Amino acid sequence: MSDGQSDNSSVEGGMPDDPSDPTQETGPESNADAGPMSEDVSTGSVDGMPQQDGRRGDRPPPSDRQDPGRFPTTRRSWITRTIAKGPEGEREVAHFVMSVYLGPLNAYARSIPNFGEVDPEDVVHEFLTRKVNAPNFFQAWTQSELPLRRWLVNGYLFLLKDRRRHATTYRQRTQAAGAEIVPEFDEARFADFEREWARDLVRRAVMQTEEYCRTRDLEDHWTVFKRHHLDGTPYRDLVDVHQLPARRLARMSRTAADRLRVVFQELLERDGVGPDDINSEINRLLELVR
Amino acid sequence: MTMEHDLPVHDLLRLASGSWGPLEDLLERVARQPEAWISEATRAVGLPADHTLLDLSIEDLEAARERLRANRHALDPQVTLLANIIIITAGVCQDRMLTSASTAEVEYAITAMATAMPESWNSILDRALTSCLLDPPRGFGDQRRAR
Repeated sequence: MSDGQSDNSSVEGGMPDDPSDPTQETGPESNADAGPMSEDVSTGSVDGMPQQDGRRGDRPPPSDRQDPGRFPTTRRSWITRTIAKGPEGEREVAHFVMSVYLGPLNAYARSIPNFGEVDPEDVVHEFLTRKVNAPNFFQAWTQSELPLRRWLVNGYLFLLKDRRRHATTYRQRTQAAGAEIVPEFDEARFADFEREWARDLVRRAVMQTEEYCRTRDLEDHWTVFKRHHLDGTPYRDLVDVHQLPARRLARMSRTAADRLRVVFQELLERDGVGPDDINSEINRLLELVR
Repeated sequence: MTMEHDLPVHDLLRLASGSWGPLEDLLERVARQPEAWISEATRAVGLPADHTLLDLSIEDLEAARERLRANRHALDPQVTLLANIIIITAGVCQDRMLTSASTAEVEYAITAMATAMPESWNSILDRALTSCLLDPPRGFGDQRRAR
């Protein structure tokens, strides 16, 4: 089992020089705001996690920060850059959205009552293949004030309403029966949709981290991380299995954890979350999946 | 293989969050000048700066914690934080949790110490990381074990 230099990368090597590493940007805005361990000393009563996001330096001014519990502002950097390539870029973004949102949107659709004539899941496929693929779909989104997930759900509901209105009209014409049934945006249903999306986000992050480790001779690091953080195996037991000291195992696990953090940032950035909003978005997701 | 797991979604999001920034910032500094930081932190609370920390009693560590509480306003906050982590780590070595922070927080801090501290701390960190106090179910593993 190898224990290469990368074990130290989070502190000594990679962090200061790696612009993609979000830990490089983390740190206290004030020394007095140093997290639960220091709080514990001062009050002896802390039972929670750090209350601040820990970022420093380039945070937006207060007037630009979103209210707690609200959606983060979006910079849409990856999507904006990609659609600027023209039709090819639009297709790339559409492909990304289709691959990422098919599952969560289907779950959302299944929560909508099916009244027979218009299957909400069928409308998901129509929405993703026709609407999301349509020219300027993402141009319109970049001009909106909405997070991508909300934009997609709104667009899906709009299409579903349209299809149901059409079906109802048809039914009224042919059977003179049936009430118009139009689903409205529902916060609880949307929260379920976001939870499903968050679970999928974590699955993708884990898979990408595993792949990253495997392709960079860090498979042992991944194994230790997986055994400890995913399987819940104590380091004490891993010491016997791997015949390595616990400290070394912890460092190996931390290498994979550092990569996981970077992957989360990349995935959220790809979804339109601005760099300054990554932590607040993760905190919001933490509340959602609690 | 990974996807066979019922992933601990909350735990992994927490692990990836930026909430650990202050601790990471401190330990990054410690890693650059470990001897100076450790010396200052341990001196501030009257603790040894090496493996003889393991020879202290819980009463000794509790006394150090009280000294830290009493003097914290006169200390650099980051020195205070490091001293507190050292006390907590030494307590975990003796299977005593000298903090009300969560076990997940404590494990995160000790794991971060494993990267930052000099080799002379091997025995301390090995013992802390294998303490039964850090065994699942706790923190990062509680939720999936409950499922």
